[in-house]
Amino acid sequence: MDRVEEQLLVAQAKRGEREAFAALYQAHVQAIFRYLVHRLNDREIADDLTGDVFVRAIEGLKDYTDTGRPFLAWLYRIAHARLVDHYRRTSRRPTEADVDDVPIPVEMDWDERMLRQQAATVLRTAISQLTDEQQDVVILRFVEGHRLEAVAQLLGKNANAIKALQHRALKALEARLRRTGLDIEALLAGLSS
Amino acid sequence: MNTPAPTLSFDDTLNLSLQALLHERESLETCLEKYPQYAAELKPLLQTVLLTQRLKKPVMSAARVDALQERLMQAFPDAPVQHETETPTLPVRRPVMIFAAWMGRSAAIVALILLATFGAGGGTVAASANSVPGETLYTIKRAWEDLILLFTSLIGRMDDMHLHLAHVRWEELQTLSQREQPIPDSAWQSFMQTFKAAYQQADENAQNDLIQVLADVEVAVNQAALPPTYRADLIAIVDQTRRETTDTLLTVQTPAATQEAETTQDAAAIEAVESTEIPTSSPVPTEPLMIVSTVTELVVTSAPPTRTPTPSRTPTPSLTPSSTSTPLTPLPSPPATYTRLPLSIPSQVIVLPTQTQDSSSLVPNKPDVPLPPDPGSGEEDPPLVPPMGTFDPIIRPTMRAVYATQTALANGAEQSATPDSP
Repeated sequence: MDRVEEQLLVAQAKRGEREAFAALYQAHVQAIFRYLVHRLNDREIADDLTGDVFVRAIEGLKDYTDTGRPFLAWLYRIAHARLVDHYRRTSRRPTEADVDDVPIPVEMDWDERMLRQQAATVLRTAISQLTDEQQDVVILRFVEGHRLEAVAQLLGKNANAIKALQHRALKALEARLRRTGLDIEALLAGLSS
Repeated sequence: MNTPAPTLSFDDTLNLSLQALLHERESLETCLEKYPQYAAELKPLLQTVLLTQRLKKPVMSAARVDALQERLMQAFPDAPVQHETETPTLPVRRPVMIFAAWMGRSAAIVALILLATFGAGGGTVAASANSVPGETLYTIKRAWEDLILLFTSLIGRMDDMHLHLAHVRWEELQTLSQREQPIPDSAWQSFMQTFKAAYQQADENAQNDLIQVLADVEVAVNQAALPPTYRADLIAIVDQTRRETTDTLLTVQTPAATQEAETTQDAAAIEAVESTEIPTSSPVPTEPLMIVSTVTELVVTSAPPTRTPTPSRTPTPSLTPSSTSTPLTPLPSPPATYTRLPLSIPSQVIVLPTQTQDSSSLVPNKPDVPLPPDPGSGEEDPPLVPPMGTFDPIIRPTMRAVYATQTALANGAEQSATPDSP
């Protein structure tokens, strides 16, 4: 969906045309769901919160103003607010101990399936240890594969800020993974073979 | 770029390496060879990226997506329904906001010239500032604009001026609409020409602003404020705008592209053992939404036979279906936007009275209920571009529904109130 089509759909949805909102929903629901799964490491909760995000979007649509940023950026902002609200309600965020508790398969003769599973768990937990902004940039830039400028638009920052942020995020993530004993080089070699 | 600039910061180097690694598919080794001075620092970070990139992307099941959509549609507030006696008018854009937005990026000198002249007692010119097409002073207003345009071309800010004039033309149309005056052909032509000129010279922000104008015009189209001839022209402009803007605006990954990327990455995902859900099977079509919709309506809704095309109108190729003088097709097909979506909305399914029904039996002697124009009534021909409230052939389905419902109710109420009715 290009920007013009999106803007027309948003204008129609603001006028109360539900088909237009349905098209916006179809275009963005998976991106919001993926973002929430990556942030929460829990599909069930992510599923619920995805619904909440779009309900809030319906409620806030009348006040929505197009500032030149993609509609998805607005949805990400709502999703982030839902996340914060969720953490506040559950009073639970992943801790350093979550990473330390995960047994790390450092020897490559482990079963590959288990290796992948474990590595993914460690990686996800390590990502969840980053700051909010760092998590967002890692998810959008490296997991979702958006370009730097797109991430800047989605997060409402300038490109230089994202450059600095991705540097800090990668350094922090790499340090956490190293602390767990995960041999990234060996893991990558094992995965590509 | 094999030799990095000596002043390249690590942030920039990292970003260039990420660009090459993620989007240009270069190998890790190639990236490191480009920046030997940073290779040791870059390597672990790029490896971390490669690992992160292989995280599996979760997908919400199609069934769940559909179920959630159904729930959302129930929560979606109903569209505001226009009362049958309400005159459909063009949406009002707030002039102050338009001016402020324009001022945000325009050459202040141009604004000052206009403001000083119009606002500082420029005599007849000042008096003509609020004139609309059809008024005597309007000629002066346009002549003054031509003069300002000429002056603006000398200082190189034509883009600002064209953008301003596009808004002025649009406001004139709104003024005519609010006064319930017919909009002359020349006014539409001026709007179209000015809009094209403005768009061609606009930067991204201004294009966004113009797109908002287009969205408003699209409302006017749905409210039957736009004559069919110009409706076709508008479609062409919207289409062109969409294509051009797609080329110039930032490319954000589309859902379809994302799904394609997922397919590739999932194959190598490090979570291959996790349960896999079926991806949604309803990618959003990438074709322009409104254009398909309005073209469809153009084909099925033709002008009333009593309308006589004037020679002054220049037919457009895309207008062919609607310029025929076939009798009014009673039921326009639903816009294509509805058919594109997987969820049908039952509340939109409406049975309308057709031309074969005896409309006089539906609404006997109800002067306060506006009826569609009767092709065979022999009454005076409506004006070529009638006032907003009387241009019925392209009336919106919701208004038709209101009309049908209320006339039926009125008919029932009258029958029950009349003692000798059968």
